Amino acid sequence: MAAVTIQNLQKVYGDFVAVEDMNLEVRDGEFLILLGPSGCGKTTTLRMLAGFIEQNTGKLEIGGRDITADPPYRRNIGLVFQNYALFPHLDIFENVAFGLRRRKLPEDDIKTRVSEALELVRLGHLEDRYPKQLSGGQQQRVAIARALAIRPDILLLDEPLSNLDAKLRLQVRDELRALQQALKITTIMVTHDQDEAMYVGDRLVVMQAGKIQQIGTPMELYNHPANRFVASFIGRTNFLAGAISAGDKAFVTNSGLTIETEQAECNHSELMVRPEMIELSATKTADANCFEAEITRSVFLGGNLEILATLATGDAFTVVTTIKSLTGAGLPAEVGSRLYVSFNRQSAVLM
Amino acid sequence: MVQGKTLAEHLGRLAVNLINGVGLGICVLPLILIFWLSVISNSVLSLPAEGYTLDWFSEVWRQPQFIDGFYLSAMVAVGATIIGMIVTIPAAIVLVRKRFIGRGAIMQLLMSPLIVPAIVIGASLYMTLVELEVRTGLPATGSLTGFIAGHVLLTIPWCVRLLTANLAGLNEVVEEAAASLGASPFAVIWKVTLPLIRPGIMAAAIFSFVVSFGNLEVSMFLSTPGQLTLPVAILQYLQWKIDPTIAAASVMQVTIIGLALIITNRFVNLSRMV
Repeated sequence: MAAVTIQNLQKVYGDFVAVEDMNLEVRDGEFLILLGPSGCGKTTTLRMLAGFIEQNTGKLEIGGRDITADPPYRRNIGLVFQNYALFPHLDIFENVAFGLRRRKLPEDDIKTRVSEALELVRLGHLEDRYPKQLSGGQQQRVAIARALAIRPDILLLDEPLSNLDAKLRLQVRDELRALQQALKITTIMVTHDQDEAMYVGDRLVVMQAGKIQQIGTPMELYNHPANRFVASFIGRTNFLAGAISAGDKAFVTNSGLTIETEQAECNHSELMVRPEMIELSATKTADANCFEAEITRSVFLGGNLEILATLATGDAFTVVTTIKSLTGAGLPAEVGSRLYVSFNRQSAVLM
Repeated sequence: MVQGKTLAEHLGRLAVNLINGVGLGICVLPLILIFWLSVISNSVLSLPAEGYTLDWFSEVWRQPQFIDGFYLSAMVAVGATIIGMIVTIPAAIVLVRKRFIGRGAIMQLLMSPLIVPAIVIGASLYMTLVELEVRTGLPATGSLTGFIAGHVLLTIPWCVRLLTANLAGLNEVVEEAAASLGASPFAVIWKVTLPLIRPGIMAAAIFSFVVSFGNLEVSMFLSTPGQLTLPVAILQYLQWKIDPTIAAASVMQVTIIGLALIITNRFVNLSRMV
């Protein structure tokens, strides 16, 4: 268990910059997520940490130990892969024991530590099975146990849930989070799935085009995205183009709608409002921003309703609400019904 | 309602079966013929059969050149297989796992004995070995070492083809997993790569054995009086006496090769690999 320091890390393939001058501090015991679309450099970063890709420049430290020049087998990093990568020719016991045998531990210690690791993922009863005989979820749990058995300084997870079906993914995700909390092991996970990232991550590192766009807790990223990319990548957003009208903390959209905000900086040309921050009501509310609108689309999503409310100016807001709050306000969720959309100043964030 | 097959469909099916049957027949007919000829009692290899006997098989055992030939062929085949594997396994691993300049050229070079007629390989090996004998005074032609050296050349393309196919199908991530768990590059190969390509290794080994054991063209040039492989011994016998003994000897050779192929097929689906 240890903190991780990444300094000026850079990887270039010909003209393509995979990772550009990256600096990152991962705290001891933290669950950090590298999040971004494919090709953003997150996997390249993870593979440089694991030692499979050699960086062009930069320095990597784990717990103060410089590992920049170490080969993968001397880094003491636990790795979990998307496709499990279990050894098909070895049974579950030997899969988990593999790293311990490389460390030449006495047989008794190996037995104890394999049992411990398999108990962590509740698969102790499957010791003598072979990987093929296990389900995908079980295989991934064995892979986690195998990575933990060597008592690594840090744990790296490369899209560990992507090969699992939707239901299993949630289950393994919960277990992964619980396990990380219990062991307090520094963990870095790569994913392209923002729900997954927000669920398990202490902090998220949003990457695009080889660069870190923003680092923060899920809430920080959601409420105060640093740029349009982060705002659109984390959750859904209504974007409105326009300009600040000088001095009076108001944003005027291109279609002439005036929206009051808390901020007053002039160099912003876009404003964002999260769908969850918008309230629908039958009558005018006291909120700073309240506009009359008409429902032009209504999609039933089970627990939630997604409604597109279009204003007379042509501006449209996507609103996510529940059936309960709609009926509570006496509103029919039908296309064509007229209502008010409202949100406060804090929810109108300039970009 | 399901209609019966039309006449055209029936005829089409019949035609396909007929073509398949004739093709298979052409393939196995020589084998059947050899088996048949090995049990006829005619003193000259000819038809029709005057009667049937198993004497020719015991006749094979009374011919020392067949026994010696069988023994030498087996020794050469085992030696060529072992040395071939030692050479080609590391070569295949490097060819599949590493990207370097000249990789394609090396691959082609290793496959080239398949393209050059075996008789040309035999002739050129003979000239080289004679030259070596003259220069060093060591016996090269007719020696076990000479035979094995020649036969390794024949087994290399088969081994490289089979092993690279097997390695290419092995997911590299498993090897990375092993490395992350603390396995040195050597341990990765020994504990993960080799066990996982075992079917390919078995197939390559048995194929090598078969190719070497049945080879005539190269062995012909390397043989010296008293040092004959089984196929060469059969050929020589044929030059002065044509009786069913050679058919019996051939049956024994075919049986051994057939058994080797059946064993191989247990480890790996041959029709998919070659």
